[in-house]
Amino acid sequence: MRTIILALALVSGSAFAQSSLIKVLAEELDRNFSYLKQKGQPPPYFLGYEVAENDTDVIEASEGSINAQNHSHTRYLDITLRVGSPAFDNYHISQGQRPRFTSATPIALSDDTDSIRRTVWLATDRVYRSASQRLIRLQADEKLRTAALDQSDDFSKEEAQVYANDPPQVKFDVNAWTQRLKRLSSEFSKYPGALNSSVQMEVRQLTQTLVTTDGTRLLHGRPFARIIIFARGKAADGMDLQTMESFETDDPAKMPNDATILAAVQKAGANLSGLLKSPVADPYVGPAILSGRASGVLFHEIFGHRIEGHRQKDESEGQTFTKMVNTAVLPQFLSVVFDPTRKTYGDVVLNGYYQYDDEGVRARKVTVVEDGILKTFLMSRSPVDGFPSSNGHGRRSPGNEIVSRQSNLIVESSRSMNDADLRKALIEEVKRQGKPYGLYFDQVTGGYTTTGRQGLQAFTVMPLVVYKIYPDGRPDEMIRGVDIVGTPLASFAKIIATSDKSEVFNGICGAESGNVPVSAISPALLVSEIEVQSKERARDLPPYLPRPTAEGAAQ
Amino acid sequence: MKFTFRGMAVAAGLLGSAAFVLSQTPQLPQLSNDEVLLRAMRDEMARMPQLARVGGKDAPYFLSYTVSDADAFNVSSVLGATVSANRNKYRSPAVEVRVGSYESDNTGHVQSGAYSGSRIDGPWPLDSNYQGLRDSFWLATDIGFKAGLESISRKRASQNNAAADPNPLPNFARIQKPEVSIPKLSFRKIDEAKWEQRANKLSAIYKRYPEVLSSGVDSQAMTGITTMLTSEGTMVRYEDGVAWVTSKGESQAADGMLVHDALSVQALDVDSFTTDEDLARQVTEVAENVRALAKAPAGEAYTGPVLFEPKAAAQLLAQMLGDNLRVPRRPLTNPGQAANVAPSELETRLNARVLPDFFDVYDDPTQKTYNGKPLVGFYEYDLEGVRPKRVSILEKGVLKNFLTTRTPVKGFPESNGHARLPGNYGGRSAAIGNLFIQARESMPLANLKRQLISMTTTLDKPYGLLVKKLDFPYGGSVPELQALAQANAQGGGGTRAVSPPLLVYRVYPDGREELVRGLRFHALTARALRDVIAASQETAVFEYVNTTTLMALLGSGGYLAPTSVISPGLLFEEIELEVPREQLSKPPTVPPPPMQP
Repeated sequence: MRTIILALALVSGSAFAQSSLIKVLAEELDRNFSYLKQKGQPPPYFLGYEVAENDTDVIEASEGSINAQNHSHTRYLDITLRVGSPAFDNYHISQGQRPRFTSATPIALSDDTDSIRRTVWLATDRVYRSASQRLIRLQADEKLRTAALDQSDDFSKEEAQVYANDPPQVKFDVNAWTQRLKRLSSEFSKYPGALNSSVQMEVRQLTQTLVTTDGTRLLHGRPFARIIIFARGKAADGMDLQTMESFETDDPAKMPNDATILAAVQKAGANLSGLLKSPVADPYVGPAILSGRASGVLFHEIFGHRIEGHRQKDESEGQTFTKMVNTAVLPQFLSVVFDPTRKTYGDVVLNGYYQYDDEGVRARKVTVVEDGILKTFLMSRSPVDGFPSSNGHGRRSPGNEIVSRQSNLIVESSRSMNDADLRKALIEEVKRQGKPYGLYFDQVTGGYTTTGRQGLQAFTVMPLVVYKIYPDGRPDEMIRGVDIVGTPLASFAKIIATSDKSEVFNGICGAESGNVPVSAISPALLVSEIEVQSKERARDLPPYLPRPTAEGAAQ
Repeated sequence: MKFTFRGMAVAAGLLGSAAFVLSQTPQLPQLSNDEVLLRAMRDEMARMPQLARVGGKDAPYFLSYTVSDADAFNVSSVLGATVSANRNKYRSPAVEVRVGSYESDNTGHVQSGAYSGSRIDGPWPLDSNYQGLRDSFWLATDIGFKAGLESISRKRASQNNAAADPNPLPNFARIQKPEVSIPKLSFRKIDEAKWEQRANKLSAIYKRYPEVLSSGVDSQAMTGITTMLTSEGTMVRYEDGVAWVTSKGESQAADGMLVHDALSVQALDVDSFTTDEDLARQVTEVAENVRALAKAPAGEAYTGPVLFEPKAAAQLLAQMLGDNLRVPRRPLTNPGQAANVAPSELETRLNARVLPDFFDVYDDPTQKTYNGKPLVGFYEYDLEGVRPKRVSILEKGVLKNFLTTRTPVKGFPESNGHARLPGNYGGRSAAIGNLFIQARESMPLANLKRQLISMTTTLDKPYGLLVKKLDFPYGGSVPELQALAQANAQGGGGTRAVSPPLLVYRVYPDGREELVRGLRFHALTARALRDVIAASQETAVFEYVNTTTLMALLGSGGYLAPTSVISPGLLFEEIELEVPREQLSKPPTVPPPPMQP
């Protein structure tokens, strides 16, 4: 593995001799750009080619059998072409319309010059046609409209980056893992309530190449490895229930040993069995503790999505925080940092780690909230008033246009206590409010939020495992069938304290620019009030016949 | 059942107002211990009477389990380089539960097959894990049964408001004798390197044609085995693969018109595929055609005699005749509600003349070869486990039969084994296998061309038209296909648009042929077949992979039905061709990059 970091002025042609993909892309970039600058009407002022290469293995096992095993190798090209000027170009947001010019174009998996150049040329032509058409239309439309509230430019100026680092190639022993997954998945047969279940391993090697007319030349990437354990059942009243456990790292070799994974399988099985027997919870408003993982998801949904820079400019967005910079948005004891440069937390490898974003801007740590005060937004190269530059959060998955997205969200607290004290504080709060019980949210699958102006500024977090905590010392009781709901500003004001231990939630976040890997790190939160509503549930019955057994087979 | 992606089909059921419920006892086979898949099917099917007890008056009367196992290698290549390569092993299960009775069950209603509950079946084990398979069949049967109960009650609710049909057709045809055949079969070996190299070699041919702007070669090598067991006692296992190479090339004429050509070459197994030399010749032909089309003058509207060479005639008849030989059954709807059914242009023409009286047409999927060469339209069993029959379609030009499935249609109560594609409302769709068009009177093609010239001279036309190839399976894009279908509907065409001609030549009185581009048929329907005036002695075998898409769109996935059409060349007295009025785009601003041939 070679690591080369060079200032632009020092770049010599030989620095990239090892990546002919960069060379092929750069040649076609220069050729297309210079032709279009001369002949194109309107001419482009920026062109960028990004290639995302994915080499992925997926193995899924269920009840001791393999039910999917796939290997895929893809290389997708995305093109960013800007016509007009940085102050006003074809990406200008008008009436909430977010244009899409690129489409994930498959290119040759080998660095074949003829094949790649042809494909890149045709794709550039396609993108140029729609980009120029939109600019011409926008320029005409703009004369008919009142001025936008946000007068910032459409594209920021950033330093060109030159860096080449062939990402480490991980070893994945398919046969050995197949045997392991079969063995691990057969454990679910001890949990008859698990109508279907699986243990899935995914290993993905991502390599990203970016060349732009700014002079940026990048080659970087990283591996991902994850195990997802999943069990699904149906309660007697028809409610579908599921539990999930997962492990993430950047190398299959770093996965925990079988005993640890087996314990997670057993936990998923036991939690599901518990949920199937548990009572359906009623809607409730009252104090609660959210585990660190649940809190991470909560912050990702209700806070993280609202401080994504592009939403501050788009007048169709709710813009909860647009005018709140330098004012308190969280309790004073909380700070929120986004740090894509952070590789691990404890021994957990973070999903939201990257070196450069999809616009070739260097990743950096961004303190968004300091002691409760909002300081900045997550920025791509699309500026907003008062924030003219990117802070390395322009991200996408292939086939989408870049917007600002989250990376590693880290909640920091200066009012923390240990878990036992946090629980005591919850019980005191329950008693103070005269509530029959408090809630403890242990696990969550994820959540969603609407940020648009037309919708409610609300969020939902979908818990998997929830307990009632009684003030009178009765044992905790598992319940099912509730979702956390709320509105962002009201919810933040209800945070009383946090635990002194943070947990990591690694996940995949889906939004306008596709699915990107993220993580959220947070201590457990004690809130004075949280609202839960009944989950929508299926009404169809569980299977009519009991699970078949080999003994009962007809002969 | 050939299938290109993982998925699952479930149908389910009902019965009318039976006063009592007689649950069917499944006919179950004895099996050796190593037949794990079949044992799991049989043992779960044995619980059918238990389902009858919980289902109340709507007991299941028919259960069918089909499992298609496949091992497929797909590779796409552009200009000599692999763009994607995927190897997939997959298992596609289809579980069908019919409740009620053969006379009236859960199918044939506009909402048949819909299920409102949650799906908790799957994932299916890829190996022979008895318990895993049992669990999967158990859950899939449960859902199929619940979907059946749901459909039959919806159907009953609609029947309650509908006027009674005086001559109701049964929902499901009985079979005389269930097929039983479970030979030992194994997957064929797929040589990935060979397929990948082949695709790269073929796609590199386009490097010699820089004016072909975009091009590519896709290939799929699939080996498959389908196993089916029904409660009626049908138990079959058969080999079910397809090897397939397709290629497309596209260019732009000086006036901006996009031109393309495409090919599809297929075989029923990876081992009987054609030679690399033959493929190279065919791909070169596509590249040459694209080059020629980009330079050819644009065609002009024309009404008059048109000669179809044998291959083009086969492509035409696959659509105008082949696609109209299925008679769709209209589902029961709520009174006044429309149902989405693509009608057959021939369904009202039984015992009427369709082609001149010197033509006979039959479909014979049982025929394995023709002139010593294998036919891809051969199959052993259809999707319903029925062995196909040779069906005489036209006798002396008169329509005598349709292709049928186990969903009865008026006048055709039984299946003739042509359920080859998925259908709507709980049934299957019939499709041709090997369609033979035979002419009792014929003459050499050269004579037909002379006849074309003399007809145009008589009509005082400057030229006649000769069609050598249609754009079938359709090689254009999905939006282009949609535009064609729309233009067809607006222009008074048939119920299904016929693909446009790709290689059309003006034939001048001196015999000279001149290629023109951009023409398409105007208002062409099956009625035009009556205007055929002569057939050639020469015949061509045209093969393609039929799918559920219009014009068998190249590259579309889903169910695959390899098909052969054998036809002579045909001379039509009059066909109308038009020039589409479409907005053309200007050529790329940037010239193409250099290429090393």
